[in-house]
Order: sequence, then C-alpha cells, then structure tokens
Amino acid sequence: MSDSPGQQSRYFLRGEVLEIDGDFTFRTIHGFIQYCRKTLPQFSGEHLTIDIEGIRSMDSGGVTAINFIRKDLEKRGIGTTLSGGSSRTRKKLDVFSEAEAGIEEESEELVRKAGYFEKLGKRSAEIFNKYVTSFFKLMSEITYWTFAGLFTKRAYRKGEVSNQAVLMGVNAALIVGMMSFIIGLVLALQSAAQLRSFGANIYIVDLTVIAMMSEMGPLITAIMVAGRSGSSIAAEIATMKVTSETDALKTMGVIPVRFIVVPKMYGGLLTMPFLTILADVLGIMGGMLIAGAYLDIAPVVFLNRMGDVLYLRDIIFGVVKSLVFIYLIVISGSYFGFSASKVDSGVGRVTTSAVVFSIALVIFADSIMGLFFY
Amino acid sequence: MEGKHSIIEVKDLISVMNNTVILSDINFHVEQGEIAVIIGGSGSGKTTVLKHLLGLYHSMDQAVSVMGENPSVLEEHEQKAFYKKIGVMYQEGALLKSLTVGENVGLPLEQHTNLPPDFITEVVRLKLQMVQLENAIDKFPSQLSGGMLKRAALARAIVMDPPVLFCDEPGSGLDPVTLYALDELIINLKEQLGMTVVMVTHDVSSVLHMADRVIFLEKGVSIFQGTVKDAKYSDHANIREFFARGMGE
Ligand SMILES: Nc1ncnc2c1ncn2[C@@H]1O[C@H](COP(=O)(O)OP(=O)(O)O)[C@@H](O)[C@H]1O
Ligand SMILES: [Mg+2]
Repeated sequence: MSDSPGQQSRYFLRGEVLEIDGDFTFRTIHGFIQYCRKTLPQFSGEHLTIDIEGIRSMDSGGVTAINFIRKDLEKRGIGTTLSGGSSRTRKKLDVFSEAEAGIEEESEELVRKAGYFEKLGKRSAEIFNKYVTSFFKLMSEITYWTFAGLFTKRAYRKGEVSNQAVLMGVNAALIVGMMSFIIGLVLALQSAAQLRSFGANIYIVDLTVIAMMSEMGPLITAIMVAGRSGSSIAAEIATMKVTSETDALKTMGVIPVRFIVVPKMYGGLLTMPFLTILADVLGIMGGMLIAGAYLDIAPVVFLNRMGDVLYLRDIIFGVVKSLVFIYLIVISGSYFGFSASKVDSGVGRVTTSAVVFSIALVIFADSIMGLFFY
Repeated sequence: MEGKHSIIEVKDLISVMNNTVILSDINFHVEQGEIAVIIGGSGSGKTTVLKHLLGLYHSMDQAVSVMGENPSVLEEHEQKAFYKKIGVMYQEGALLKSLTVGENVGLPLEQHTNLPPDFITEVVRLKLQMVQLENAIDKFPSQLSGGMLKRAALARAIVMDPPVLFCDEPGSGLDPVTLYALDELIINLKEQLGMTVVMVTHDVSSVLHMADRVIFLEKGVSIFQGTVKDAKYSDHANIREFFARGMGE
C-alpha cells in the first residue's frame, strides 16, 4: 500500500516525546512502523509520551500501530503515555483497543517499571472489571426485558413459560420437599435434647417454624434449584452459542435474552414461591414429627403454638427472598452460558461455574437481606 | 462492471480477538445480483468475515458496508430493520432446537411482521416445498438428517425473500446430488428474485457451477478477488491449485 496523495502522516521522536501528525491509517502506518523500528531501539529514556494531538484521521490500522509500539516498549520496561488527541481519535482508540487488554491509560505518576505484584494486581483488576461489567450489563438487559416483555409482543415460543415452570418448578418439587423434610427433622432433633434439659420443650415450635420459614426453606429451595436449573440454563445457552443458534436469533432480529432467558425468568418467578412454601411446610412437618416423638408435644399443641409464633411478615419475607434467589440463579446461569465460546468449547466448564457461582450468590444475598430486614 | 453498484464493500477490515489477529487485511466488494463465493482453507477466517458482514463482530466505521450500512454500529431498532433485509444460513444450520422446523422457518416472519399465523404457515409451507422438505414441517431439528438440516436452514434464510443472502458452507456434508440441487436453488433465487448471494464454500464444483465472483482468503488476508476465469489463471499458486484439483476430479 502506498501513500495516496490525500493521506499524509508525519512522526518524529524528540527527546522523550513521539509526535504523530496527519492521517494515521492503514495507508500510512507502514512508514511509521519502519521509523519506529529504526529509532526506538536507540531510545534510552524511561518513559515515552506519544503525542497524538495532531492526528487528523485514524482507522483500526493506526490504533493497532500505536498499541503495537506501546506493547513493545512496555516489554522493555519503558512506560508510555498518550497525550492530546481529539475526542474522535480517543474514541477510535477505545473502540479498537478493547481486544487488546493490558494496554491501559496510565497517569503520569504511575509510569515506572511495574513490579511483579503490581502487574498481578493490575491484571486481576482488569479481569475483575471485564467480568463484573459484563455481568451487570447482562443483568440489566435481563431485568429490562423481564419487565418490558410484559408489555411488548411475545418474543419466545408459545407455551414456553409454562414449559419452563414445569421444568424448573414442578419437577423440582419432590426433591425440594424431601430435602426440607429431612432438614426440618434434623434441625429439631439436634435441638430437642438441649431444649429438654432446660424444660423448654415447647420452644421447639418457635425454633422450627421461624428457622424454616425465614431461613432454611427459601435457602434449601434456592440451593436445589440452583443445582438443577442454574446448570441446565448455563448448559442450554452454552450449547446454543456453540451451535450459532444465538447468532441466528440475532440475525433474525430476535434478542437472544428475550427468546431464551425471559421465559425461564417468568417460569422461575411463578413457581419459586410455591416451591418455597412447600419446603417450609414439609420442614415444619419434620419438626413436628420430632416434637411428637421426643418431646411429647402433640401435633395439636404444635399447631396451636405455631399460630402464635408465625407472622405473615415472615411468610412474605420468605417469599420475597425466594424471588430474589431465582432472579440471581437465572442471571448467573445465563451469564455463564453466554460466556461460553466455540474456541474453548467450555460447555462443561460453564455449567460447573454457574452452579458454584449461583449458590454463592444466593448465600451472599441471603445474608445481605438478613442484615437489612432483621 | 459499470451500471451495477456495489451492495457490499469491505475495506481494510481487520479483526482482533483475545489478542490474536484473525483478519489482517480483507478487501473486496460484491455487486448487486451476484453470487460471490469466499474460498479459503479451514481457519483462514471465512466465517469471521461473514460475522463482520452480519454485524456480529464489531467493525470500524468504514471497514464494512452492507447495503450502505455497517451493521455493527447500528442502534437496536436500525439493526432490526437491517436484519429484515438479509437471510443467513449458518455453517452448523443453527436451527433452534426447541422449535419445530416449521416454527424455525416462520420465526423471522413472526418477528418482523404482524401477519396472521395461518398465513405464516402458508409461506412456511411454500418455502419448505422449495427445498423439498414439506413433510418435515412438524418435526424437530433433532429428527432431521444433516442434509435436511441444511435445507431447512436455507428455507429459514430465504423466508422473507431477503435481497442479500449469506451462506456459510451450505454444501458441507451433503451428497453430490443434494448439493447440486441446493446450488441450483440458490442460482434460481439469484436469477428469479435478483438476490445477492455471499457464500463460503470448499467445493470446487460449486464454485465453477455458480460463482460470479470469487474471493480467496489466506490466513486472514484476501489475496484475490475477481471472476472465476481470472482466478484460474491467477499468479497465486494456491488459487490455481485449488481449481486444478477440482477439475481433475
Ligand atoms: N471468537 C474467537 N476468538 C478467538 N479466535 C477465534 C474466534 N473465532 C475464530 N477464531 C479463530 O480464527 C480463525 C479463523 O476462524 P474462522 O473464521 O472460523 O475460519 P474458517 O471459517 O475459515 O474455517 C481460526 O484460527 C479460529 O480459531
Ligand atoms: Mg467457517
């Protein structure tokens, strides 16, 4: 490629400043790179300022050229700073440097040779930023379409919401019910001996009911659902990504989140409260069994006392929690699903991460909500 | 070449992903009503070029123009309007596994129009007839063979009669007879509807059969674009070899 008459660029190294002027595009960067290859090896300073104030136009080639020499210099331990530049030039740099992680704007005082831990820290901060940003982006997109989906034309298959409600909710009922019954049983059993030694038998009711309703019920349900649905959401989306189904949706004018995630969100939000209440009830029944067997508290007495200690507020709190949990589970399942790519074909990897992450998120959210509402 | 106008233009396109340069210098154009074929070894970047044309990957302002627009920088509603004008047949077929073949083919219509469902079914039936799949309308993609999947994917891509059709390796995995029929179908679309077609293929016979223009990629660089005739006598040994191999068969 030769310089066309309309496109000219100039560049000179003066002391610790490299100045670039004119049109900095594919048509002109060739000379620039040659110039840098010749002059920069002799550069002996600790820091180079690249002055891009004079750049009139720039394309991806120009951006790459700048990043290219900066990388080179940084390898030699020479810090670089960009100075000046019109907003258009800056924007191009941003757009095209996205892929080139590791080249970050540095402020003047930070420019010196970075130590190992500094690099490690910086890299982790970048990774953190990248993932956290994309997580919240997806979260807001899903949240938006969950609400907007109520008022706009349906973008998913007819019957998909009830299909998902069955998959996520109804099919989970047996395991959720069983688990919470056992937990209720164990919880009561563990405390029975203690309570008896104080003669405080009746408090077994308070303990079981409050613990199940406001804490264990929602939590057990969420953990079971995260294990079942969090993983399957991640696997389904990851598979769709690998087989280009998500691309196909996009190019048919369908927003993938609306087609794939929103019906799952609706299905989950609809069934999760019922699952949670089921877990509460069965857990309390487990406690009731132990109360009868070990502490001589008849079911009638148990239920009577339950009426005294059970407040509507606790039930509502449990339900609200369960809604928050399913919201987080669907989002983290989707996040890991969408993060899969053909290159590392990581369907298995993302499913595991989705489960671990959604359970962690659920427990985290549980403690936050506990702090706020108690 | 005067009188026609370029419907697709790619200028100095480069593509960087995860710190790897995948495309470093792609230049070509496609004129209205042509069948342009992108050829190149596996991993040479053919699918990546298509994804840039479709706006699935970001391209710099001037690097990509399809019907006058760079789809990767459009606003959401503009993008939707853009996608109404193109059809895409993906390398893997990419039929949605949760929908039947008929629902798959009808999805673009359902998205972009307010037509009544029974009318949509009618259109779907017609398009499936064109690819000889009318019996598969209520089947799920998992119940179809590879060749049938490809044809269903083509039916979906052309359901709205888009002015521009993109096909990524439509022929791979097809037997020669089915492949010939598929090529004929695409030629018909071009001749009867004036569709512009951009397709990726490995198959020399398809190229000779249908291409108006070939674009040859090598390691992320477009080393040749022009007519088939010019390509056969190109200076590039790899290109000559590609055609020689095909004609020797
Ligand atoms: N998202 C991606 N991230 C990183 N590398 C990729 C990505 N997509 C494709 N590649 C790499 O780019 C090259 C070209 O890929 P592709 O365009 O699919 O080739 P082709 O379709 O010509 O076989 C391959 O080496 C592939 O591994
Ligand atoms: Mg490919």
